[in-house]
This record gives sequence, structure tokens and C-alpha cells, in this order.
Amino acid sequence: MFHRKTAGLIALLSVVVVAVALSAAKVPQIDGSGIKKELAKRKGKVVVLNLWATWCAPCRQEFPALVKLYNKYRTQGVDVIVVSVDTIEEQSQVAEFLRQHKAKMPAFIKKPGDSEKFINAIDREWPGAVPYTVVYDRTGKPFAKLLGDHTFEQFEAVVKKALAKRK
Amino acid sequence: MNRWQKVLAGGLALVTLSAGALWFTGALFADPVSQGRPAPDFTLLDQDGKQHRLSAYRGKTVVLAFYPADMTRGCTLEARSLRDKMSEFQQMGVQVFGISVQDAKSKREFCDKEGLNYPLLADVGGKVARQYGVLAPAGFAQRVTFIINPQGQIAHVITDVNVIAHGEQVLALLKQQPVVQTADWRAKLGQPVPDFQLPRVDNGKMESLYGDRKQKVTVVMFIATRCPVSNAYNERMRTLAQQYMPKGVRFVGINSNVIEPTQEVAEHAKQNGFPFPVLKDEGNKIADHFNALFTPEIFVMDAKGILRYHGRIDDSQNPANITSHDLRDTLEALLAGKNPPRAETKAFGCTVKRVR
Repeated sequence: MFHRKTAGLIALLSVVVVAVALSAAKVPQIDGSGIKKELAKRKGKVVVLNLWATWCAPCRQEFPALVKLYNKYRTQGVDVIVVSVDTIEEQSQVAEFLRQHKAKMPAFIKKPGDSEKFINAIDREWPGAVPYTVVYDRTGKPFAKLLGDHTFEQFEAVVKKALAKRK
Repeated sequence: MNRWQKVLAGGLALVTLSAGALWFTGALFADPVSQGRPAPDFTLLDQDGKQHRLSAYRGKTVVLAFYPADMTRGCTLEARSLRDKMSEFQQMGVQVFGISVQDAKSKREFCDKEGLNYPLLADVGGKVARQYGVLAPAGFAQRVTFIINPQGQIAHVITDVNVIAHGEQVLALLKQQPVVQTADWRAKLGQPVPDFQLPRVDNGKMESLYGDRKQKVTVVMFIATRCPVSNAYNERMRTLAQQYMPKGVRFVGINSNVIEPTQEVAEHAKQNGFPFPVLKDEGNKIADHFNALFTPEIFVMDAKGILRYHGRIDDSQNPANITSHDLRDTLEALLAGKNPPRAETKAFGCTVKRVR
């Protein structure tokens, strides 16, 4: 009886562990309209949307700055969303990278499908090169577009300006 | 006077006469400003009374065609020949001037009669002709054409002007040695992309964008050594080049990344067996002209140098998932004399690392 209970508990625990492990390896997928919904949900906040990829060295290099930005400003009306443009086969690497960097911000991976449609849905002016970061003001309008990698200080300066902008 | 004396006198007279004729037309003392020298600046009026200052054309190639006189036979042929090639000159961004010592009114009549579509400068008194070393003692200019580069230096001196085909003669020189380079331009779909030169990474020699201009299509590819997307396309770039070079397509690779030194780019090109020249764009000036922002980013020009396509090679980094072969389809269309199916496309890529 006792043994059965223990065995059941162990089984349950292992299921939980496996489920947690699996969910950690999975990053939610998103397409262009999904990103628009995520942005719409955050009206009233300044949102930093970063497009990156595990294959992109400058993206990896600037990533800690985004983590720092999120941790410092999340309670001050700023949200950071990171979207990987890796292919779906790469999603475990994406998950691993996020885990390594202790990235707690909302993170997504691009849903398989037309890249060009995705690029244009985010910003018609975006040529598709990563890293690319769009900072939205509190009304949800693009406030700044940053092509290439940036430092924490550069991100912070833009965010402060966006926060200072009157509604 | 005996027979010999007569012959001697005749000979003497002949020599004197021909020397005089040569002196009169200036042929004996022809000493035009030589190649490489700065072109003397001037301000002159054209047939419409409009002022032209040579130095105001800095950044453009200027053709300055001196000729003896308006309305005369040779000059008319020469002017017609230049007139008929004007659209090509304009396409290359070249400014053409005719210049002679007659006044603006005479120029006006000449232009009206021949339907000339370029400015004729009135160098009354021959001051400018003298500065250029082409003023004959008789007071008119010799038939000499100068090609002045965008930096304001003499790039070519044509003393053996072929009046019937002078337009072709000048164009051939412009094409052979690409002096056409406007100081400021931006690549735009449907607009000409001017020629430029950059050093080759393999031997440091200057290579012109259009080369010998024999090709039907020119493909510019902004590439990188450290960008995984660009690298994912190395094999496809090589294969496309091997396939389309024999069909009259010229491929040029350009590396504008400040973090990738020439040596590294040369090694990379060699390792990947690129059959096309790879050029180094120090200071990313050419990338700025094209507004090239990522690698691999493609620009395709037709035989006339007009930008017809801008964007990606195809729609998938993974060759197994390609659904749209955009560069290949563009080349097929242009070679068949058709419009590319799509003029502009997008894909994910790496940013071009610029100097800050």
C-alpha cells in the first residue's frame, strides 16, 4: 500500500518534471498579427520589441542589455518582448539561450511561414536584417527604430525619451 | 632663272605655305592641357544666355568638345553625332558641352538649325580655348575634346576627333575607362546606377562595377564572411554565377562590413570558390549609395545600368524549403527582355556593420 503510494507520487512527480522540462524547451510561436495583438495588450506602456536570432552574433551580444532593461524598467511602465526569427527546428536552442540569459520577459519564436509577410507586418521599413528593435510609445506608435546592435545605455536613453513623451 | 632654281623656289614656297597653314590652324603648336592635369575653370554663356561654371559640375563627368566654327560642315557633323547620343550620355550622368569662339547668337542659330540638345558655350575671344591650349593663331579653337572626371581633372584628350561618329568615340572611352562617377547618388528602382570602382580583395586592383560593359545584366551582392545567412548562400551564389555568367550576366560581390578585414574576405572568397570578383568597400560608402542594410542583399541592373531588382536570393535559408527563386527568376526575365516578376523582396539577414 505504502509502496504503491510512493510509486504513484514518483510517477506524478516525474510527469511534472518532464512536463516542465518540455515546456522549457518550447517557446510560444507567433506571427505578424500575433505580435500586433501583444502590442495592443500593452497600450499605455512603452514597449521594446526586439527581433533576433541564435545565428546572429550581434543579437547574442546585445541580448544581456535587453534582459537588464527589462529587469530595471518592468515596474516603470516598460515592457520588453523578444521574438526570435530562427526556424522552428532551432527552437530548443532558442529556449536554451533564453534560459542561459535568465530572460524572464515575454519571448516568442516566429511561426513557420512567409518571412516577408512577417517582416512587413512588423514594419514595412524593416529590410529584414537582425538585430532590429522597435520602441513603441504609450499610444502604441513606433517611437524609435534601431537597426543593428545597441548597448544598454543606448536602449535606456531611448526608453527614457519614450517615457517622457506626453500621451 | 634656270630650271633648278625654279624647282627650289617652288619647293621653298610650298614649305612656307604649308608651314603657314599649319601655324594658322594651330596644328604645329598644338599643346592641349594634358591628361591628369586639373581642368582650367571658366564661366561662359550658352546659346540661351545661361551661365555655366565648370566647377559647378564637380562630381559629374564633363565632356568639353572644342570645335572651330558654328554651321561649318565638320562641326555640324560632330554636333549631330553628339546630339544623337545624348540619351546615353545622360544615362551615364555625363554633361556634354560644345565650345567655340562664336557668340551666343550664332550658337542659338546653330542649335535651332540642327536641333541640338546640349549647351554650346560661347568662348568669345578664345580665352578658354587658350587656357586649354587649343587656340589656333587664327583665333578659333582646334577640334579637340576633353573628358573631365568628377574630381575636375582631365581624364582624356581626344585630338583625333572623328566628326561623323564623335558621340560613339567619346562613349567608347567613357565605357573603357569608367570615369563616370557622380559624387552623390542613391540607388533607386527604375533609375540608373552609375559606375564606380572598388579594390578587389584578391589583388588590390581597382575593379569597375560594370567592367567591360559587354554583359546584359549586372548583379551586385553585398556579402559577409561572418554572417551565417550570407554563408548559407555561398554555394547558391557560386552556382548561380557559374550558371549565368556564360549567358552574359556579370556578378560582383561587395563586402562593406567594417569588422571583416580584406585578408579575411579574400580567404573566404577563395575557400568558397567564388567565380566573381569580390570588392572591399572600406568606409561602407558604396553600401551607403545603395542603402544596402543586410547581407546577403542583392541589386540587379539591366544592360543600361538601370536598377531592376532589389532584395533576396530566394525565400529560404534552407535550400530544401525554397518556394520562390527570386534572383534566378529575375535573371531569366531580364535575359528574355521581360520585367522581373517582382522588383523588390525581403528576407532575414545580418545587418551591414558600418563605421560609426
